[in-house]
Amino acid sequence: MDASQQNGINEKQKKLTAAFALWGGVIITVILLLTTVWVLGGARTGTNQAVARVSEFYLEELAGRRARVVSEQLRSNVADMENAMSVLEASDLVSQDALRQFLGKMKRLYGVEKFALVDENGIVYAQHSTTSGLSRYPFLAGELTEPVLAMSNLYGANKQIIQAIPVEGVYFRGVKMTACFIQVNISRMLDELNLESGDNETYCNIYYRNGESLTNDSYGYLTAGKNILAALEGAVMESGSSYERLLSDFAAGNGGQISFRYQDVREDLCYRPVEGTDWMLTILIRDNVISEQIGSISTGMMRRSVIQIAVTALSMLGVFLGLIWQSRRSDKLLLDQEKADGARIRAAYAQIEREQSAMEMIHAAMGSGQWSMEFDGNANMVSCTWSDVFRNMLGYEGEEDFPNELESWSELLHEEDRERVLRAFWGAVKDYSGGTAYDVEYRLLTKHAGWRWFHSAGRLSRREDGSPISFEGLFLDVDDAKRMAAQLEEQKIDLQDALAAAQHANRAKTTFLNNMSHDIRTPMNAIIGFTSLAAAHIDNTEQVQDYLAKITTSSNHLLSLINDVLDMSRIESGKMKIEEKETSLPEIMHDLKTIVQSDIAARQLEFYIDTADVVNEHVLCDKLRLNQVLLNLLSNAMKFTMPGGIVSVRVLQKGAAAEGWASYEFQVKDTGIGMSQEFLAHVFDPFERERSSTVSGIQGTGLGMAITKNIVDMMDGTISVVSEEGKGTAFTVSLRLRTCSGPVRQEEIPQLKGLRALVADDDFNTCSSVTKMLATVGMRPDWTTSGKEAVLRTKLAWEQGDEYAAFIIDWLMPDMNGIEVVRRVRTIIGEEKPIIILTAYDWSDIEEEARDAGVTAFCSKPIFLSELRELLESPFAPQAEEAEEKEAASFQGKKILLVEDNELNQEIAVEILQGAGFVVEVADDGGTAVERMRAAEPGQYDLILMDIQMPIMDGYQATRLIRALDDPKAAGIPIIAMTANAFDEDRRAALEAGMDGHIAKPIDVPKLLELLENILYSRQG
Amino acid sequence: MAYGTRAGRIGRGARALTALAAACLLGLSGCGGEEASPTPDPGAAQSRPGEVQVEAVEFHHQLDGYRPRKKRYNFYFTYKVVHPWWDAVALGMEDAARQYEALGVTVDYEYLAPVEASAQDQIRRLEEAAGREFDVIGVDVADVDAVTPAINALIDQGLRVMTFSSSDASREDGCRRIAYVGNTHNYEDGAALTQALCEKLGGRGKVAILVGTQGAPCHEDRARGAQDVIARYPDMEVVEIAYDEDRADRAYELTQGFLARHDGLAGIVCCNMSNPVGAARAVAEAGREESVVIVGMDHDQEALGYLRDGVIYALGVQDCYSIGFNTIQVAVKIADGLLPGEEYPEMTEESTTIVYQDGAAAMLRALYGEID
Repeated sequence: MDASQQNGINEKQKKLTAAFALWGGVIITVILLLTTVWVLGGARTGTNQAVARVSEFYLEELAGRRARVVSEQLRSNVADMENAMSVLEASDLVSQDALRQFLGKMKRLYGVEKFALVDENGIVYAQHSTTSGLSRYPFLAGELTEPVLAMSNLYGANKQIIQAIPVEGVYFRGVKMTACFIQVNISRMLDELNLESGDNETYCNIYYRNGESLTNDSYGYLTAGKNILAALEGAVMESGSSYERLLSDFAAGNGGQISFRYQDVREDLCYRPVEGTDWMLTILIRDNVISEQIGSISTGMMRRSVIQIAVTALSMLGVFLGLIWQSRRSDKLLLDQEKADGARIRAAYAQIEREQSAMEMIHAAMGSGQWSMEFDGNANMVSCTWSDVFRNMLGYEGEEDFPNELESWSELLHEEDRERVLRAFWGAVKDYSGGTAYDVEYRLLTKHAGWRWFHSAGRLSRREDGSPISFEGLFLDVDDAKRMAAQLEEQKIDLQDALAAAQHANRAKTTFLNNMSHDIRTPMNAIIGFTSLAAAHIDNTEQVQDYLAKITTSSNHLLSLINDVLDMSRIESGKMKIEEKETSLPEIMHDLKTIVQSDIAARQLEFYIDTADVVNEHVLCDKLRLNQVLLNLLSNAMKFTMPGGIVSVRVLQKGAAAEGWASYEFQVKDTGIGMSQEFLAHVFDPFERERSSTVSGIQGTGLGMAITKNIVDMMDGTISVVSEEGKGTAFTVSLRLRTCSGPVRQEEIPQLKGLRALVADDDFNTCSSVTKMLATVGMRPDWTTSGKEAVLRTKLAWEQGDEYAAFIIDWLMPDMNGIEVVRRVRTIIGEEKPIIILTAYDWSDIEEEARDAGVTAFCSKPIFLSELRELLESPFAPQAEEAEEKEAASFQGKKILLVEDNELNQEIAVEILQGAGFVVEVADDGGTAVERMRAAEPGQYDLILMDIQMPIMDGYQATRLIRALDDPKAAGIPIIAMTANAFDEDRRAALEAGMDGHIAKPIDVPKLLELLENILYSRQG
Repeated sequence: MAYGTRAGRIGRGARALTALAAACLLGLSGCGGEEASPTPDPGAAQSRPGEVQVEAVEFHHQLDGYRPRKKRYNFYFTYKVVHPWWDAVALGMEDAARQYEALGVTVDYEYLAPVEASAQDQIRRLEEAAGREFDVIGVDVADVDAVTPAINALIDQGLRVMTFSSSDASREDGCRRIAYVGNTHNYEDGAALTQALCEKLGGRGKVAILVGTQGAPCHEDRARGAQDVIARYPDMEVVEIAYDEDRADRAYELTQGFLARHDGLAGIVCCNMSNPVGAARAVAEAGREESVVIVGMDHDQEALGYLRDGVIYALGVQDCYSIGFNTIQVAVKIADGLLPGEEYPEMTEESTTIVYQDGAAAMLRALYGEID
């Protein structure tokens, strides 16, 4: 057979196949159609029969259930009435309203048309009415002895069920109640049992056994309220049903079901007796309702089945054709596929071989050792193979050195890594889900190179149940990389730290510069501006003076800023040191008071300063820094307190301290503007200010508190602050200082012992502390905060013959000033007894008036025990020497060598010095000065003012050379450093270089003159 | 509600025609025209058998839109005697009270009567009610002469008194009651029924008249109307007038007496509700329903059955339901201090419909449902 014959046979075969498929499809379709029609026909008949049977059961069940519902409802009604009677109380019968309320409540509770009581006269009591009921309710005709069920056909064809029960023992207004009844609308009750939906109606009704309807409702085609037995007499009964059976069932109260035709409609009637009554509950359903429904469903099913078969046949045809086409196409594709697969498999094998070869070369080149293991079905290792490369990496030669066992490797693991690595290894092996990877780094002890880091990773092949088959992996020496990484990490951290520090420093620098730029520019602006204005108005002396005053203010502010900045800088750089020296606390406090006194007066503030319990008045501390702290606090207090406000300072010695030590508390309080709680948290931070100077009108550097805090910290003390906006601020500095002498003498003063003393001061704290001191010296002190009372007490004491021996009286008291008090007291006690005026203010202006009034002495606040003791022990005489004014020192003719390289500074200094009477020579360098001194005649210069930083020879060098001169007088000439190097260390350096004093630029003229006076005249003295 | 009936309606405006009817009667008698066919009183008999279809009783009432001024009312009503006729009135009252309750207005009331009609009992009830602070006292006057002074005494005490349902005591009677709701045309009802009877009898024959309570205005008026119509027929004669005290059993006995005493008795006029029941029972029992024509009042179920069966020829059915409904509406307005005027008339007339055999079944269905 040739190819054409074969093709012909194939074509014929294909045509036969197609024809077979086509005809097969047609035959199947026809069979499907026929069988569907047959099945549906049978199903329809069967369904009809089944539905009829089900309907019958359904109707029986429906009627029976509803009959039970009605019966239950009737029983329930009786129970409801009995319940109602059981809860009827005497209070419900006290009045008609009460009774009506009760009946209304029951009516609502039980949901009936009427709930009523009936009395023996046939009067019916209901919720809203009291009516004569004998004619309306036939059941009232006789005596009621048991529950009654009756029907009332009311006027208007309104049939109602009446259920009544006899009542006993109930009297209303002396009349006996005989019955309780309810009225139920039977139509409404049956409405709830009816099933109505469009024309497909099921009717429910109740009839007496004689066929009389209990309702006047329509019932299918029956006339409303018609007797059912009478109505169905003419109905055509279906086979199996008979009218006689209906009659007999009704008469006997039996349930049943009949089918009949009434007005040409086939209907089914099911009836059931209602237990406990002579009623029959009936359910009527029209047969066409069911048959039409079923017919409609069957027709629909038939139509859908035919459509379904047609669709199926067409689909089958499509599928057949598709299969034939696909089959032909598949044959060709299969052949092509087989050829292509062969080529691909061969190429794949070649590729695998190449890759394996390449991998071997890579392993050899990379130094990565392979390993492999095999496992049985229970994940037990059955073999372990270490490659030679692996062994060589560890320094082993062959299997004898390093057997193919897991332990060969695991025993070399570093102790810190072993548990982790083995857990990872076995975790991967025993995780049947295959979700755990093995990829670890660890240290192994090599044979020759000690501990080295290795990286190992492997993959498992598994059986269907997940148990491992083999474990293949690689092993890499990563020791160098690991060490490099660690090194890099350390470097990275170092770099990060360095970067952070640099960034912080940069930020700090930026912040500092920003702050400084602003804070310096502000006063500079004023200085430059007012200088320009002064130049422009140079002829107007008054205006120029005003400008100069403002320039001075701004200059001072700028200076204080620079001082603060420098202090802060020294604090932060650790250059500021605390120098402890013997210090007198009274001196510090009095100095403090003296310094602020003028400001207090200028700002019109009230000022209190006092002490409490200070028994160690001399301590070792850095007086300068303590002063700085207190002055800072006090300056702030004054700055932020409005005129009329109060500023107070108090020093207290606190309880027991270690021997040789004493604890003090310095309190600085004000009644100023206070601080917000937000600002309080930052009050000690540099450059923090509560408000801008432009807003508050108060200038400050914002460094004062930071410096204060740092100084206190350096003194091992603490500083705290309490403040409230609008009320004021209180700073407390607590310091523990070494005492440098014993406590102030505590013993009594014999000549004052037992004598009375009177303290009058409007400041309670002063009264308290002075009173304690007086008691300490043995006196009997009284105190008062009122000037008037002081006068009264004095008079009383005088009258009682127990006079006061001494008076300590405040100068300024609100009700009567101290001078007036003294004047009045003197009129009582005469001139003999000492009266001391105690004040925080400068008393020079009133001293004369006070002494005329009888004041014996003045004492400055705060008063310390030592001072009081001294005062009381000394004769009370005016201290004439103190009162004398110190004569101003004269510098006329004194010769100064000014060593200063800056011409401007030279000019200023020359002007100041010449203004004070000095004769000034100028040397513009240290070397020049040395030469001048070396060449100077004896007495040619009285003093040298020496700048420090000079271009050729600095001040220190020059001083040392001068001190080294042969001429002792020239070598001993007073030398004062006058320099912009203003720090303590600069001062110390100056002294160490041999200088006699130090004054900082810019020059504070009074200070300079005071220093010059001290040095020139002390030497003379 | 639609039902087939041949009925005539006597209603509002009928009383206005009473005077005209009386004048006609006087004119006829004055003319002495015995042979002339008497003209029926246009107010008293407005229908004939097979003429019109009407609704004798209106059950679907709505309150008239008046807004009560109080939230609670308390009324006292007393009527002549315990009897189903007044139970029908009571249903109208209940309906009105229910509708007021739906508006948030509570209407409480007492609705009481003696078992046997008694003017003295009624006076006692009124006096007792006077002391109990009712908003309005309503009375269906048992005896005008006896009860009027009692009503006036209550008015003098400042109490508000109205009359209602079947019997009024009007201003012409010297009574100062505020208003009346009910049948205002009892004379015409009696006349119209009797006219129908006379026509049925062809204007000749002996007639007995049964009345209810002696002195009860409604009954007496109907009896008077009956007598006046019969008087217009020279060949007719009232052989006997008897009172059954509103008891059907008594009416039965009285009728038995009529039948026994008057062989040729051709008709019986019944002036209340119990009369036709007793009369029909006796006539049917005697087998003389073909020879004795009975006309009567009201809607008793048994009487309507006799009407359907042809024992009774015609019944005048009053709209008791509307009487009760309107009585409560008027009482509320009186309690609010309103006097007759725009809100309500001094006399609210209610209709009476004369129903014949062909309308009996429909009337039965309307009032009592399907009766087999």
